Parts: sequence; structure tokens; C-alpha cells
Amino acid sequence: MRDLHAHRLSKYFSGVRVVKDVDFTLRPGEVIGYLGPNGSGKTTTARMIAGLLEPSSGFVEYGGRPIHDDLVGFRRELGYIPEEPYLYPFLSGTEYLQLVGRLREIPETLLTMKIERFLDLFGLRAAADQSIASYSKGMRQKIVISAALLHDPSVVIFDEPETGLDVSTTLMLRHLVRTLAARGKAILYSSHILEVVERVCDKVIVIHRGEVVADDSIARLRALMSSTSLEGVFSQLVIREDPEALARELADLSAMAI
Amino acid sequence: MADDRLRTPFTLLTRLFLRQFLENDAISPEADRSQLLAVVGALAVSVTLFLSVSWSAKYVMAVWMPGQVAAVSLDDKYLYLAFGMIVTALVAATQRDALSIDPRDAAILEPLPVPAGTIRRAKLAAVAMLGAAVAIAVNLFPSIVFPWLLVFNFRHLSVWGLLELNAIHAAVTVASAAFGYLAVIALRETVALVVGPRAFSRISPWLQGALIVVLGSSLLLLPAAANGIARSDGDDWRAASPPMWFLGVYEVLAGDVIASLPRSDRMTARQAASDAVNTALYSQRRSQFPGLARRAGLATGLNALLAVVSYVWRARRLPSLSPVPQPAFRRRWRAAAWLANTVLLRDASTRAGFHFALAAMWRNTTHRLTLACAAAAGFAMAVVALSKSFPEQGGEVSARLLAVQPLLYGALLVGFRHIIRVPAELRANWGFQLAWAERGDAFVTGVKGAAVLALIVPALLAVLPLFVFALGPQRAMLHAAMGLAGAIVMLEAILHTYDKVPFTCTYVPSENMKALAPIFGLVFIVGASWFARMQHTALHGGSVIGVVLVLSVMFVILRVIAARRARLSLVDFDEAPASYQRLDLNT
Repeated sequence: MRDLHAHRLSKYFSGVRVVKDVDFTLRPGEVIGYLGPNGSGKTTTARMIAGLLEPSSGFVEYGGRPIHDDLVGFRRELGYIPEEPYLYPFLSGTEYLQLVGRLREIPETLLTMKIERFLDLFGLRAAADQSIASYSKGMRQKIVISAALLHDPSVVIFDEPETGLDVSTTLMLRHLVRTLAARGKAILYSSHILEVVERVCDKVIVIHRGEVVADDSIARLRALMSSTSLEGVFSQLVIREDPEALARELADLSAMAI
Repeated sequence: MADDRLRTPFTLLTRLFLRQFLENDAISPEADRSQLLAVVGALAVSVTLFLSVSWSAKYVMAVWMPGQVAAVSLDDKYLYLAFGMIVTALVAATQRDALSIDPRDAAILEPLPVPAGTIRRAKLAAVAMLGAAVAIAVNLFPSIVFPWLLVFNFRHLSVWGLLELNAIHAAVTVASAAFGYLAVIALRETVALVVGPRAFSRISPWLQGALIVVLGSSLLLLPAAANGIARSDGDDWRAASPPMWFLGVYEVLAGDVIASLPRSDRMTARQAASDAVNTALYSQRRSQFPGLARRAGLATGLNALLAVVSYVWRARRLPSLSPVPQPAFRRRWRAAAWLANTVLLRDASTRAGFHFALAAMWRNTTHRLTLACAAAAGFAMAVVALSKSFPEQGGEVSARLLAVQPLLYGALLVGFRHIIRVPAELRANWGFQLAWAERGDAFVTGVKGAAVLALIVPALLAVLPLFVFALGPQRAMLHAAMGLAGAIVMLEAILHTYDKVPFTCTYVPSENMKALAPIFGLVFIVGASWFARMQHTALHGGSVIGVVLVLSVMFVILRVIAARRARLSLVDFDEAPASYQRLDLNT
């Protein structure tokens, strides 16, 4: 089990800065919450850490080595759950997991057993042989989570994994994150659901307009911002507009005569 | 006012549905809508202009008598009628799901305050407009060029007479094309009604593939079919073909325009004799045209009725996104898959490549369409080869007949070479990127295994009965074994320059493909006939082992070259052009 270090990561798209100088270390057994409003750069950071996107500047180290020195080796240790579960629609859930497992060179017998258990535990057994095209977003997300955990990764990146999941699966996911951390996995949990982050994370990084505006434990952040909840901290750090005034304005706009 | 008319729900929806027809990446996923329109438009103009000039140039190159033109032009008219009919039917077959309101349309449009009837009418209008546009595009230039070249030598024909010929050619060919379009809709909708939505969702891809193979083969065999109509007795197979019925309409409307033209006084005796023979031939056939025309009218009426009734009946309820549970993929091959995994595909990456390629090539629409077109081309070439060398049982077998086998599997392998370059689902590539262990060679070995199992073996089995009949069981098996070896060498050859992950990397069409395609086509046909000669020599006193040895040496050389290349060039996923990278679709 090794440390993952994001070293002053920045990303520009067509000259527009999306992420600037993000710097943190993720240790085994630790769960870091990565918080921010829509468009703040959470997904871009997660993709850079997963090696799916090359940083414009900065680098990611795993075990003291830049991940791009041995990207394949790093990905053997990585599980990634993206926000949008894009999958091959013409494969069935079983076939997709078999594809991923075989590409990861998991022995066939172990792979078959793991796939069956994952599908059972996620309640996907009945749809296992249907094409993914017919799956709901939540079902696809369950397949993505299964694919990310098939090979027992050391680092797991959850990028807004609750999207489309039902209540019981979301609850299960929270416990899963804590259980994985207890078994020494390093976990980056990107989300904008403050309640979940508050419950599962040891530490929080708040990103706003691509820049880190807070990086500390939840307890210390509460104390620093004199707030009783993470929501209060988040509001002070990120929310510039008065939400009530904005809501009133939206309702007024909707009510304008056609 | 005009602006308001353009913004009615009906107009907006019709435009939306028309745009959906262009959301088709069979040509290239890189092409945008305007590029695609430009390509399709340019293709329609250039191909139809080229074909109409090349098919009709003979009427300008020599001095023709009216009787000769009336008789000989029957072949050309049949060709134009069948060409328009098949091309329009092919367009309908490739559009398949876009021809009716799909669950996605319904899910988006149903919550809006637009009556379901408006959605249905808009879809129907868009489908009708697509059919009309294709029918006109295919027949526009031939309707101008063909009648003009047909009467090029006849000074007695007035401008009015020429315009009459133009109008009749346009009307009959467009009607014939509309018939083909409606026939595909009628077939699709009737099958859907008869078998029900659940079964239809299962058989629909196979129906589409079969339609494309049949239509594509018919298109390629058309020049051979449209030959000697005036000399045939009128009761041959063509009398049962729809283009022949429309030829009846054509001749009823325009037959006398040329046949009854005054003959020149300056005809030589030979010309006069030829004119007399052809005029007599044409007159014999002429009595059959009214009957054929009646058949065309009846068939068109029934076809249109069936298409409209089945279409409207099926569209009476908008489809729901999830009323029909998707059929589960069949498990009956589970034992075979287990056997293949444990005996043949012992490496995990090879298994991944094998199973992924099998799934992608048959279940993905674009890939299935491409393979269906390749199968159609192969089938048509095989029929052409077979038509002039049909064997007698136990008789002498020509090398031409043996070429049926390499032509069929060769065309399929060329199609396969194309489909592996097209990503199965670009946005799902991230899964490959994360799980990829840089074992490209093993993965590609699995993909090649899938091609052998799903394309080469079925092609060999499809022609095996023919060769058992012609060569006897023992020599037919030897022939099949040589074919398998040849196909594996060909597969190795066409893939040896390919250094990307099949079905995943962004497809960037080759710039010089248009220039190279005819050369590749020629090399393919020459290669197939060379291989057929080799097989012929081996089966008639030569050495089959010698052939297999030659192929084995070729295979080893190709493998050595590929192994050297693999060390130089590793798999690269990130090959997308700038437009893709901006959209973040390449990662």
C-alpha cells in the first residue's frame, strides 16, 4: 500500500483554466472527500489522477513514482468509478465484467465467481444476460462499481458515484467506502452531496472554480469556520450568491406571462 | 406569417426527424451533418451522372435505327428501374429504426404539450420526404441524360417528344424507386405486427442484415440480369421481378415514341435488315407490356396499402422506453464458450479480444451493416463467378468455380478489416484504458480468432455443399482446408499493418482511400483468382501439402514482420482529431 500524491495539478482546455495547482496526498486507509459545486473541476481532477487526462502542468505520483512512468502498473492498482457510466450498450452486464476482468488478466475461475457474487449482491442477477442498453442509470452504475472493484484495487476514485443509485444502494455504498478504507484502500470520494461526505470522509478538500479553497479534516474545518455542519462550511467557502434570493428570482422568471 | 408556419410543432418535429436520418455514422463518425450532406449530395450527383452517361454512351457512339433502339433500350430501362428501386430500398433498410417513432423519441416528446397525432404525422411526413428525396436524387440525372442520348441520332423527334420521354422516364423510375422504399417499410412493419414487439426486437437486426445482403447482391448482379430482354420469351424469371412490371408501364406510356419514328431513306440494306429484325422483336414483346403494367399498378397499390396500414397501425400508440424486456443473450453456447476458453483461448487477453470482437461485430449496428454489405459484395461476386462455370456432378471443375470460395470469405475479411477501425462505443473506451495491460498482441490474436470463427468458417461451410457436389466429399474437404489456410494468411496480411486496439481507437478515415480503393479491389480479385488457380492445380494432380506449405511460409513471414512491428509501435488510444479532443470524446 503506497501513498498517492497529486502534485500541483493544473489543467487548461483551449486556454481556459479548469483546475489550478491542486495538491494533496492520499494515504492508505484514508478517505478524502473532494467537494465542489458543478463545474468546479472535480471530475477533471479525478480523471487526471486516474491517468485518463494528462495534466497541463504538475503530475501525480504513486509510491514516489510519477504514474505516467508506468501507467499500466498504476492502473492495476486503481479502481475508478466515473460520474457518467458509459458502457458498451451491446454487451450484457456479465459480458462487460468478463471483458474488464480478462483485460485485467484475472484467472477465469476467480473472475466467474466474483462476477456472479457482484451481480448477486447488487441485485442484478435477473438482468445479467440482458444488454446494457436496457439498463437503468443505477444498474449501469452498479456494473461500473463492480468493474472497479473486481481486481481488488489499492486506490479507488469515486466520482459522484451516487448518481442514479437507489436509497438502499447509496446506504450500502457509504458502508462499502468505510469498509474498503478499513482494509487499507486509499479512497478519493468526489461528490456534492455534503451529508455523504460528512459521514464517510476523514478529510475534505473543497474546490471552487478550479482552485482548492479548503483542505483539512471536517472537525477542524467546522471549528475554523465556526459552523456546526459541513453544509455551513461549504456555504461560507463556495456559495457566493444568496440561495434564497436566487430561488425567488427563478420563481419570478418562471411566473412571467407567456 | 411564413416564419410562424415554420415554427408549428408539426414543422419543427418534421425537421427534427429529418435530421435524425443523418445521425448515422456508417460513413464515418468524424463527419458532421453538413459534411455528410455534402458527401451524400456529391455522391448522388456524380454516381448517377457517371452511370447514366456510361450506360447510354453506346447510343451516341454508333448509328442506330429506331427499331434497334426500341429493342436494345429495354435492357437499359430495366437497369435504371431496378437500380433506383434497389438503391431506395437499401436506404430504407439502412435507416431501419429511424423509420418509425422509437422509444427515445417518445420519451423526449411525450411530456411536451404536443398531441401524439402531430408526432405521428411529423414522422410520417419525414419518412415520406426521405423516400421522395432519395427517389428523385437517384433518378434526376438519368431522366435528363438517358432519353436525350437515346434519341441523339433521331432528327425527326421534336423537342416536345424528347420532353415527353424525359417526363415519362422520370415519372416511372421515381414510381419504381418509391415502390422499393415502400416495400421495405411494408415488410418491416408487417413482420413487426405479426411477430409482436418482443420477438421483433430479436429478429429485427437479422432481418436488416438479410435485407442488405439480398439488396446489395441484387445491385451488384444487376448488369448481368438486365441483358437480352427483347430476345427473351417473356416468361423467364424477370417477368416476376418488380422492375419488369414498371418496364411494362414505361413501354405502355412511351413505347411508340421511338418505335414509330419515321425511318431514314439513307439506311443501308444491312441497317434496314437489322431494323426490321429488332422492330419485329420489339413488336412481339409489346403485347406483353400492358399485362406487366397492370401487374405494376396492382402491386403498387397493394404495397402502398400494406405499408401505410401497417405503419399507421403500429404507430397508433407511441412506444414506451421500457415496455418490452430486452431478450437475454442466449446461453445455449455456454458449453461451447467454456470449451473454447479452456482449450483454445488459454490467455485472458486473448479471451477478452475473442469475446468482445464476437459481440461487437454482430450486435453493433454500424459493424453489422458493414459486414452485411461485405457479405452482399462477396455473395454477388461469387454468383457472377458461378454463373459462367456452374458445375456438373463429377465433371471437370474450372478455376473460376473455385474462386467462389476466396471471393466470399475475402469480401467478409475486407469488411472485417474496416469494422475493427470503427470504435464500438467511443465513450466507453475509458473502461479499456483503465483495464488495458498492454497485451495488444494477445488481444488481437483473440480478435483474429473471432474472425475465423464468425466469418471464415461460416463462409467455407456455406459453399461446402456446392463443392461436395462438384468435387466429391474428399476433394471438397481438401479444398475447404486450403481455403481455411488461405483465409488465415489473408487475415494475417490485412491486419499486419494494424497496430491499434480493434473496435476502440478513433476512426480517422484514410485520406487516400478513394484513390487506393480501385487498386485494392483489383489486387483482391487477382489474388482470389490466383489462389483459385493454385487450388485447382493442387486438386488436379498437384500437391495439396505443397499449397499448405506455401501458405504456412507466408504466414510465418507475416507473423515475423508483425512481431517486429509490435516492438516498435505500441497501442495508442488517444488518436482523436482536435474536434474530438475538444468534446472530450477521445478519453
